[in-house]
Amino acid sequence: MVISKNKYKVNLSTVEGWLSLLLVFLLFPFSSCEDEAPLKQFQVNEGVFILNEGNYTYGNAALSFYNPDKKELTNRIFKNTNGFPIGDVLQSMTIADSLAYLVVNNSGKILAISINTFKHKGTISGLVSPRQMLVLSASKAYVSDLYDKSVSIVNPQTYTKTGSIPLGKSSEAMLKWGNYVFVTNWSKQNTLQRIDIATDKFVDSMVVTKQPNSMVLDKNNKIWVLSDGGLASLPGGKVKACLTRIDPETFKIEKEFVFPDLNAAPTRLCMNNGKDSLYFLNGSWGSSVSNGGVYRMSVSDLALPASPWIPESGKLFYALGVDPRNGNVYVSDAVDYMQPGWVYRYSREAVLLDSFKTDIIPSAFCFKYQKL
Amino acid sequence: MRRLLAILFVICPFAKGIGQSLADTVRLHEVFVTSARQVTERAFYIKSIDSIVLANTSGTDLSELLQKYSFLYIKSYGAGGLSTASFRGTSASHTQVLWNGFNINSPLWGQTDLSMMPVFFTDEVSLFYGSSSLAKTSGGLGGCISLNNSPDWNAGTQLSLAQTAGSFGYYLSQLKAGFSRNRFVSSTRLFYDRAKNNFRYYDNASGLFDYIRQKNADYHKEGFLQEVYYKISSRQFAGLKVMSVWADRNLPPIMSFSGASRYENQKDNMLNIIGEWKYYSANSNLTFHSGLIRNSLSYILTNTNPGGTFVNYDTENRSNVFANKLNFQHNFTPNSVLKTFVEANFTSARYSDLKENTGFDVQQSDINLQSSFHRIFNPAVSGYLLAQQKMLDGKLMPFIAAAGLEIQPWINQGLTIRANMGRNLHVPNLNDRYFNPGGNHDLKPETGYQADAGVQFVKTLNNVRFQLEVTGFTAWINDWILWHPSEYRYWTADNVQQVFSRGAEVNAGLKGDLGSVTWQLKGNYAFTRTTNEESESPSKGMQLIYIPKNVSNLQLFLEKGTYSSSISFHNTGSRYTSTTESEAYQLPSYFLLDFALGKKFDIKQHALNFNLKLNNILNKQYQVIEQRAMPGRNFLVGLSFNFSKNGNQ
Repeated sequence: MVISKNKYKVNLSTVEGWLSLLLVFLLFPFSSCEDEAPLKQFQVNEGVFILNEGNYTYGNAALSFYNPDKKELTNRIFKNTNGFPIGDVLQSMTIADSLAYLVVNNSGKILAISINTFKHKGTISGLVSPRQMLVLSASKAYVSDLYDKSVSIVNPQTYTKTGSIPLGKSSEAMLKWGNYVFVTNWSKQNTLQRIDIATDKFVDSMVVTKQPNSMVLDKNNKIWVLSDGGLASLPGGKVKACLTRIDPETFKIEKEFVFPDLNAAPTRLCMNNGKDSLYFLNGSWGSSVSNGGVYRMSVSDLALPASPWIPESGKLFYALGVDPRNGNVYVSDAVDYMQPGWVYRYSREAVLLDSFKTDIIPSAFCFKYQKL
Repeated sequence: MRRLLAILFVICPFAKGIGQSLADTVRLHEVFVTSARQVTERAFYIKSIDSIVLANTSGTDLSELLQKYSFLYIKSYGAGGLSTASFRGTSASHTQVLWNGFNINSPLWGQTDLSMMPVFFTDEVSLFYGSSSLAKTSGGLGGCISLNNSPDWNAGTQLSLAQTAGSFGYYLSQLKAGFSRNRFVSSTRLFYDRAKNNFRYYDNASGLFDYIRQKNADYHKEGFLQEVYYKISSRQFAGLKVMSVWADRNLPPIMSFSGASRYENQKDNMLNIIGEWKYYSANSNLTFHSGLIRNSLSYILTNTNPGGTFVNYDTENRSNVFANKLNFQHNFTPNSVLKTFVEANFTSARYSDLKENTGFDVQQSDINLQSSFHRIFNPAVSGYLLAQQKMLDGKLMPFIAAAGLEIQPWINQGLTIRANMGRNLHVPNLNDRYFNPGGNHDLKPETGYQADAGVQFVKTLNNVRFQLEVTGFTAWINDWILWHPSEYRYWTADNVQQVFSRGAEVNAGLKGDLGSVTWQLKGNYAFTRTTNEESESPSKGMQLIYIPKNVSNLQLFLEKGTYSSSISFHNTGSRYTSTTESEAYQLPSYFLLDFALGKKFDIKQHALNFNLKLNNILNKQYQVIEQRAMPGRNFLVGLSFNFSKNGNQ
């Protein structure tokens, strides 16, 4: 802005002069628009995506990428690449070929990005409260949902919802075995359901311990379901948590490992690449239990471990992942849920290798390797 | 210079704002009316909103008024949506809101939605900062907003009608009818307010990068205020005030939402009934107030897809407070006054989660006894001492006390020095204790130690009146109650923090005449630093979230004959959205510029007013709360007619 000195000369010997100068001074600095941050370009090879779910209704979810070989961490890769935020509550992520699908729970959408450049490729919208996505083929995937009593069928290539499978219940974890997809019914529910992939129809269900939150398949083709037992203050109250082994062939429970502490609410069941060791977090809702931490047990063990493999030690463990390449364990600390959390990387022998700060509530890990 | 001033005068409006005509005629020369302050007001840090400002904003709600004309930080979810106020870096529940002496904060969530309070329903708005709020009530760890209505015994017969229309399908209708005769006064006010609220905003949150229209943000509100007053005798007076406001608001999703068809709605109803009786004698007065404060709120959130409609939340909140207050004031001498009040409140509240079939139903009683002694020691020095004992459900709460001192070093030279300090107490709200999930029965009351000191200077020079007031404040709050997110999206309440709030407030004003133009310039600036001081907290020393360090506003009023105008600037500084002070978690500051202009036509003793108002004329795209869209440039146009027939003047 050029101001002609004579044309707009301000006489500061008068009250009007001071008044005018004050108004111009106040107006000028605020009359320009904020500049958007410049976009960045990435090209990465191997490493781990760290999902930071953010606070519910804050819309501050973020994605980080960590290269453990170079010990390089990059935060906010989605927004810095694409210029817009992920949305509200980044729930989970699924990699299929060259794309990663980010399930954004309270934004009702799934964002597809390139796993190498992080560039946004498409959005699957119109979902109710999506939780997890299971890709079954190039043109078909299932999406579980916290409120919708159906599993959505989506086309990952065209980014469209193509149908739904009524279950009569909300859904959480999903796992493919043979011609079936097994679905846990988590929120205040206690069942495991089966869907026929060929017909996209609900087949049958079985009762498990209350609130089955996660599920894995071991080397013996057994399904392990981890139930947290619910929340004391919600209808039905809290029951003892349980790790349940199920034969998918007979669709029957083979063994139940009941947690002795009623307050225990274990979550995040996962498995190593050899599918012979189970890992999970044992904590409580919103606080810690006396023996909280990361637990590890063999699929052949006859009892739950008595003590944690990695003690929580005052931290607030929130996410857990096992590196399929080398068995290293990633665990996050959500701190106070309101500031960037920490990720700790441990060796297979539970030796701390390194730690780094990511974003608000690191909630899941998704590994990206060319070959295993 | 003259050209610049001329430009300013043209672009700046002439007016008292939409709906201003419903207030009694207000002229600029009334703004700086001063009167000898009562001994019971000395030393307290109180700011009353000017009558001209109330007139200018009578078409708005209390949140907009306070955002533009005070130090308070207003957290708003958008036009017509939930708006709360916080003083001096504290939380919204630390702001007590009084309506004609009674606390109208919901006992369930401890706050008042200021968007439910039309300025049109208020004759006086006073802000009591820090420990000065103890003059009115306890629990104001930040301060207290006092709203009052009072009778105009000489009003005669008055009828005012106003109709306003504006951008985004906004319509506001207001009616005020007043009548006074001999010992009787009646005043009736009605309003109906509705808006589609479908403004366009720049979508940079979902990857669209284009302007889109806000969805599901329409609302309508209506309400009435009825006041009747009767002079029983020259020493006795009785009155009844009934106010009710209904609101039916659809709530828009956050900007990044791309999910299935979503319906989020909130219905509110507020009903306040207060009866009062006052008795005056030569050296004493006795007043008794009794009333019912009733709030209800229904909230529902559903999603719909081809598979059906899914209810995410469906809740109802209801509360009834039967409030009673007996005040006694005795003037030992004109310079020595004792004030005492006893308050007895009985609360019944219910929260119902209709989806989960859970909730709670609780009753609570509290009794407060307060006494204060006020003294003017000599023309230069005055002060007060105050003490309060609170009993909650039969249990004695920690003691509350405050003291203040006011000094005028040079009598009638316009310089006043003022200091206050106090210990205050805020008891947990019912939701803090009983909400399911997350409520905590074991919560302790929050205790605040508050202090402020300031200097005020008022001077008239060359027919220009100058006023400057600078105040420093500090507050240490123990056992701060915080709702923090827990696993699987459940939030829980805890006494988790010690909080240290400190800062400074500057209030300045200029008023004068330029020929036939009367002008007035007023401004406020507040710097607030509020940090978590819990020694073991990872966020120790960090600014609390959604507390801006800087808030400022500036207003220019101009008046020439039957034309009047105003220009208003408001700036809210950046706010952190995380408990770490990182730029990555900062909401940008925003600056808003509004204009208003008006013209009054006198028709005998009646008046016709035309008003035009332009808001956010720089068309700033901004967010008060992260990913909550706010409207860009918008306008309002209004026409009102005042019929007046004097009675027993």
